[in-house]
Amino acid sequence: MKYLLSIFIVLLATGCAPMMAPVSGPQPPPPIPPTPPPQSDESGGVQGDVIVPSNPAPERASNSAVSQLVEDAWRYNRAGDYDRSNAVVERALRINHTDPEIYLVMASNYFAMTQLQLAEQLVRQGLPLAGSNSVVKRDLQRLLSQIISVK
Amino acid sequence: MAKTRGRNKKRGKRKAAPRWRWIKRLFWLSVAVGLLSLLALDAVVYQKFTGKKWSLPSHVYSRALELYEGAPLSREQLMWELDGLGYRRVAAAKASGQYSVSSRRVEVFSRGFEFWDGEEPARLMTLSFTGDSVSGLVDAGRTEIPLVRLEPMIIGGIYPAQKEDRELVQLGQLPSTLVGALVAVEDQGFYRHHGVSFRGISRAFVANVKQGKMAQGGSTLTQQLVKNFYLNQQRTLTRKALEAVMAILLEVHFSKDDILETYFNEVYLGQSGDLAIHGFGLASRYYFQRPVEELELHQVALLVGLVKGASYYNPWRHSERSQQRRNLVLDVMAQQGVIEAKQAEEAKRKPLGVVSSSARGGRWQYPAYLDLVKRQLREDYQASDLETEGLRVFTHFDPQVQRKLERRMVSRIESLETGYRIADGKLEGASVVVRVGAGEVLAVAGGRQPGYAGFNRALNARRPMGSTIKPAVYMTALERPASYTLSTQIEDTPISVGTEGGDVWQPRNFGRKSHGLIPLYEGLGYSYNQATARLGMNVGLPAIINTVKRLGYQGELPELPSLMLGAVAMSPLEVAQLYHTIAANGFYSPLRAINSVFTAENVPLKRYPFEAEQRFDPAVMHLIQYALQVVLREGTGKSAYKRLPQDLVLAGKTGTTNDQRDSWFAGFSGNYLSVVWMGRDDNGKTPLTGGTGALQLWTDVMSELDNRSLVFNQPEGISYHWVETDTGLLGRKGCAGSRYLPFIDGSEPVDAGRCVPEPLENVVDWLKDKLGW
Repeated sequence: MKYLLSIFIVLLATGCAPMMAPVSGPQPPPPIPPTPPPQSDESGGVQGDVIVPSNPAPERASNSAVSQLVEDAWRYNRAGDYDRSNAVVERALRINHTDPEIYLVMASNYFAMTQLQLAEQLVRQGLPLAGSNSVVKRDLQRLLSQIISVK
Repeated sequence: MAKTRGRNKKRGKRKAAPRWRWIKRLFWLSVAVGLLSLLALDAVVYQKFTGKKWSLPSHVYSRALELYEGAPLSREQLMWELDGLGYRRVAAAKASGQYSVSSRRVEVFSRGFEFWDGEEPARLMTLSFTGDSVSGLVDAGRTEIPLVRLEPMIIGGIYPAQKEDRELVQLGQLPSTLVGALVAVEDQGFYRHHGVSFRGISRAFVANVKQGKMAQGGSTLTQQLVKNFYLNQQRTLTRKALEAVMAILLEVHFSKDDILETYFNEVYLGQSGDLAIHGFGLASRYYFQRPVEELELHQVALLVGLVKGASYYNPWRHSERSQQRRNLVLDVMAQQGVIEAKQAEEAKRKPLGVVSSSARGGRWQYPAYLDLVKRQLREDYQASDLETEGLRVFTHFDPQVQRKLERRMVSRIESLETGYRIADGKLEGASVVVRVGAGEVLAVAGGRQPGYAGFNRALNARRPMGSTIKPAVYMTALERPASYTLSTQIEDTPISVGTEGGDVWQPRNFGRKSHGLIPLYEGLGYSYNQATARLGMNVGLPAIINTVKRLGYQGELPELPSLMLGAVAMSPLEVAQLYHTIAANGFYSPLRAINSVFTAENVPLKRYPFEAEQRFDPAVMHLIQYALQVVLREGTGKSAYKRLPQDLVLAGKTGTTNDQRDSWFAGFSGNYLSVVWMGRDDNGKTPLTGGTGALQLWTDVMSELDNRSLVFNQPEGISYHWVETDTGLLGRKGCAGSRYLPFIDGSEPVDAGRCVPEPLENVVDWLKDKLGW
């Protein structure tokens, strides 16, 4: 009874009353509303005593050093200097190994060097890190398709 | 009579003629032999001088420190690094190798360096700091610089049995005062004589006669070089004669500059343990920790003074004697017009300026890491090449991390010995620190005395790994989501397993207590042996062995039940390899100490690039990383959070072996992985568990590093659900006993437990959440 009253008041207050159909006749039980997960910060952690996952958010936006290195690595990649490109992008890997573009550069280099197995592994390592970074994710997926088609 | 006399005369002539002939023949034969010997000697002189002059040991370098805005580096850490590189602190940096410090800024004039991926030019820059990180980096024109590298430190060498080291320099590199000083002190007629100075010999002869002993040598620089380079130290007339001849031959073929440059690289200038220091290039680094180009006048004079007797004038052991010699050199330099008298006087007022005796071992004080470098190099190079070809080996060694590890190792072991009343010196330890993701080994401690080149426990002590193996058992189970999830109820009750030999294996929990039915994640988090053994027997030993190998173990593993609880012996480095695969979300990357190798002429030879191979599904890795976080949040490793920030996400596992003979902890953050072992060399018992021993040192070390949280992204195919931990059924947020757990899609429980409310209650809860009631 207490619950019904609460619902009634709430629905009135929110002005949603017309949308609610009266519960009548045999209806499938409503699904269990998803319990909102504990809020997480970027890196995950503990909310109260609950371990929660982190949100995949590329960290590079705040790191100009990694951006510079990735940019340089792409430049060497375009020039066909794949070894040097890898050497440069590995410096970025040391600074932030969770940046998916690092894996994209390395995989592109190895793909160009026809080391397909390694290129594929690097794409697979980068993909879960891409998260919301749709451009890098798309490029990684595209490269993976290319690798698979060549293999 | 007269005829007879005349005949006799003729006969005498006839008799004398053959004798003369023989003498003549002998003479010409001697001349011929002499000439041939001279030619042979000339060939020796020429060939050795034009060929490879020295067997050069390989030199090993640390990583290059990257400087950028946001770099986790405090002002003090940068200063420590600069001091280690031999930079000179001055009021205002004006030349390479100098730095100046203000309250929140450091101005550095870096040295240039040729790296694999390009040259880093020398430049003047200013770094500002906020707390323990770099908050700004600008060049001399106040323009922001995204990134700069300092040159790497030399941390050691790879030497043949007869240890002799040198760092080759070219004449053009040397300060003019150094060349002037050497000539002024050792051989003033160097540019006038032809290898031998008769004036010098006469002067030495007179002086020796006057003093009644061999006080002066009279040898020219060329003769000294011949003696050191071709001959031996014997004081015989034959050797002296040979030396003179060879010196003349050397001067016939080669220029004064060639001879002088060789001398600068050849001369013996000191002894570091069993390693002989040759040449001014290395001596400059050994005594002053700086390149020879950057030597100051008083330092130049000290080194030149050492030529007469590096041991006798050793500046650490005989500082007064050394100073007198240095000042004498300065006086001679002034007399010979190399410098002004005023300069000499100023330089004489300066202290010796040699590095402290603790710092002088800088390049030879990391034997444990060098062991690893040598081990990895041996896979690609012959020992003889490493010892003689002068290769330049660039590694991932991080001196800042190593320093922290060593400091903490010493203090923690001492405090444990005191606290647990362990006999002094009995407790040993070893540790490895790895950069997560890149798989680079940053630091290695092979024992409680890190600088001591003894038994390297981090690489070579294979000890039973105890419960640090358990993640492999749980991963094997979690790879079968149809049968096992983190909430699966497993039994923690006594178990008996018959072995092939007829024995019965009966593992017990550490606390001797059984816990009945427990959720799977708790079995790992609290390290219950019985639950793990039961789980392991269910998934099967071959599958567990397969998991351990996929994690990166390359040895053989016995198919014994005790394997599940860590009866297998591994070194800390091997354990680090397994845990790196876990930290890197199931991607195996061989742990690397070496970055690249260059020839002595600075030509890139080989790079050791990053490699990765997916060995486990990311969803499975998410589950095991969850359980390993439980270890540190609630389980056997929770004491770590007493000293580490609560918001830092960490994962790891303790390990304790029978009778507490081995104490282990392996764990990682988002960027560092560290494995620690503690125990006794005689395999004796200790009062330590993984939590009270190794974990404490692990926490010490991690508390000093710039850790970032483990990136615990929720991968595709994983969903989180509230589950009742005592039943494994669906639970609810806020309901006692419910826990928010990750599941591989499709493996989550479907049946509702007691906490799951009736449908109407759900709606109300939903509304409450929406409205924030």
